[in-house]
Amino acid sequence: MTPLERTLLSLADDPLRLAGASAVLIALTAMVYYHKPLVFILKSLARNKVRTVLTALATGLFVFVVTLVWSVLWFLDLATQEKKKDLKAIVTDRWQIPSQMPFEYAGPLSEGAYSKPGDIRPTDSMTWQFFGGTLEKEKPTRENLVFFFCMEPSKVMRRENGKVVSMMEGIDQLEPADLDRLEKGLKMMEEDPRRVIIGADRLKALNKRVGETISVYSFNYQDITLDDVEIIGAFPPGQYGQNAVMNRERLNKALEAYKIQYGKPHPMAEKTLNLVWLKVPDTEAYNKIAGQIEKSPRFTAPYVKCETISSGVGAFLDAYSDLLWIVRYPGVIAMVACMSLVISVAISISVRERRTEMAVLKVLGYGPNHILGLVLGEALLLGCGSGLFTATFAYVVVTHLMGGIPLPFFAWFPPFKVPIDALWWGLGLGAGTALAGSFVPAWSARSVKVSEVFAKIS
Amino acid sequence: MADEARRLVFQFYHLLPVLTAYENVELPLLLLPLSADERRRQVTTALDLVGLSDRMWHRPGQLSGGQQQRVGIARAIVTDPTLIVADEPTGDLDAKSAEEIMALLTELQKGLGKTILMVTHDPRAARWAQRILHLEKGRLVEEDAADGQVANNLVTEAPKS
Repeated sequence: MTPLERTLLSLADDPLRLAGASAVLIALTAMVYYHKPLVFILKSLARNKVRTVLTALATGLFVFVVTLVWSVLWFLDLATQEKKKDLKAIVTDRWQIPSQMPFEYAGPLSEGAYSKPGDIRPTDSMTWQFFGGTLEKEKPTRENLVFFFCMEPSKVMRRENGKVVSMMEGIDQLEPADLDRLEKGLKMMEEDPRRVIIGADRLKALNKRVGETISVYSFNYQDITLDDVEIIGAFPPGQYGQNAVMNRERLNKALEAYKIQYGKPHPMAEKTLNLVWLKVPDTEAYNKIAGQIEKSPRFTAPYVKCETISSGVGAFLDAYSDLLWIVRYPGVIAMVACMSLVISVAISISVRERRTEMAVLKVLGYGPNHILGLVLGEALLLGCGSGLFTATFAYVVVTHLMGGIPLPFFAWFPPFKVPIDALWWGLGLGAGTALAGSFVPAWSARSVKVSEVFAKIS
Repeated sequence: MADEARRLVFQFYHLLPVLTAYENVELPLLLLPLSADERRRQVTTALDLVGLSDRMWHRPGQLSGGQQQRVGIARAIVTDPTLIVADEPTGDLDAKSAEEIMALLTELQKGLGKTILMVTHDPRAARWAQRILHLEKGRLVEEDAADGQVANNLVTEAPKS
């Protein structure tokens, strides 16, 4: 399907988009048909290029900020929307953040606490143990830190009947060549748990290359140092560019070695399992498995909870709900008001400078509403133009040129992108603020009295 | 009298600086139900009449005072009004340009049968009139009649307001 066909289909599916597209089409047709007033408006805007450009830049900057803010809110809304099919659920410590569960939970939780006939299993699962460390024990810095997901390598990616299967968000969207390299690297990790894969961005910060061997001094597992860690591959820059993956066996063996060396278990030994991911086919299966897990007597120290990723994110965001509300409503309204004020000031100055012209137009037969239309037209053109341009700029740069902004410490989130809907937001914001900001000066221009203007001139 | 039947010529021309001479003259026509071809024909005719067809794509800033006033006159006649009201049309011009403008207005009056009502403080401009009404503080104080000739001998200086 071509991009044009996709766009047309998406328009047909969404009445709001269809209405917006129709309005733009009508406006463009009207502009072509009534191009004389448009030329006049354009020439009026061009008479003081500096003022017009500065106003457009100020409007554009506000639209840019509002577009990014709305994109973040849209992104969060999307992340908290419940899916109906192929849900991912996360199992965590019920009462504690960060979640720390004993590794003994890993097996039964991966099975969805399946214990008796009638229970069901998840279609796939993945366990995560977090291991953070530094390459320089004495002088840890942001640059020499590395954060590993300790897990089963096959859960990062494997092929089943030639199809890429992964529990990790976005892995299946890597380029085929990257997938081949990743598959090979993961097999090598299975064979030797000392081998790790680190994101390209993190490798660059660490000033290390694939093939080098490093020692990692842990900061969340005191006195655990992993030596001879061999970097055998790199995730491409982007979503996993700052993360690293290690075979979970390596961490578990290091904890066993600690027990042998010190004669007692590591203080964190019973708290190594941080997250268990479960893939379930639909909501019904999720409800069943969540019930199995939460009612199971095996998970009582600590208790666990099972929630969908969206409700998990929603629960996490609850802590910030007031802040998000402020950003979403008063924040955006304040920015829109500022945008209107900028346009209002610019148009007011322009109208004041041209009161004689308005009077002349009235003498030539132009009515008050023609004058109102001309002034509003100038503001609309300025607002819509700069709004659409800026929103398009944000969309093209963030979504296409950058491929989205990765959230390195929330690797299970897809990269943050500006949605295509931002084009409407930009156009609408520009148009709305231009109308709001220019109405008073436009009304003032409409009310220009010919006799008063020429009395002053003479 | 309908608005279309009378047009104004200003002392300071009041052309829109961002538009060309052609576009300034075309402004009143944009309100009328005319085709683009019809508008073009009327604008070029008006500019021809004032002798500015070779300057139609110039902006006011690129024209002399006399030329700008000619554009103002073309803008006034483009809708073919019956009455042209001229508010000191030579007030901002040098003597030579003023003579040219007055000659042009007279030509329009004679050639196209327009009625021209002109307000002026300038006795040299007033000499071109066929009938002169003296106003003082808004009141008619004297009327001189001419017999179809330029009324040199009838001029008395208009009172300063």
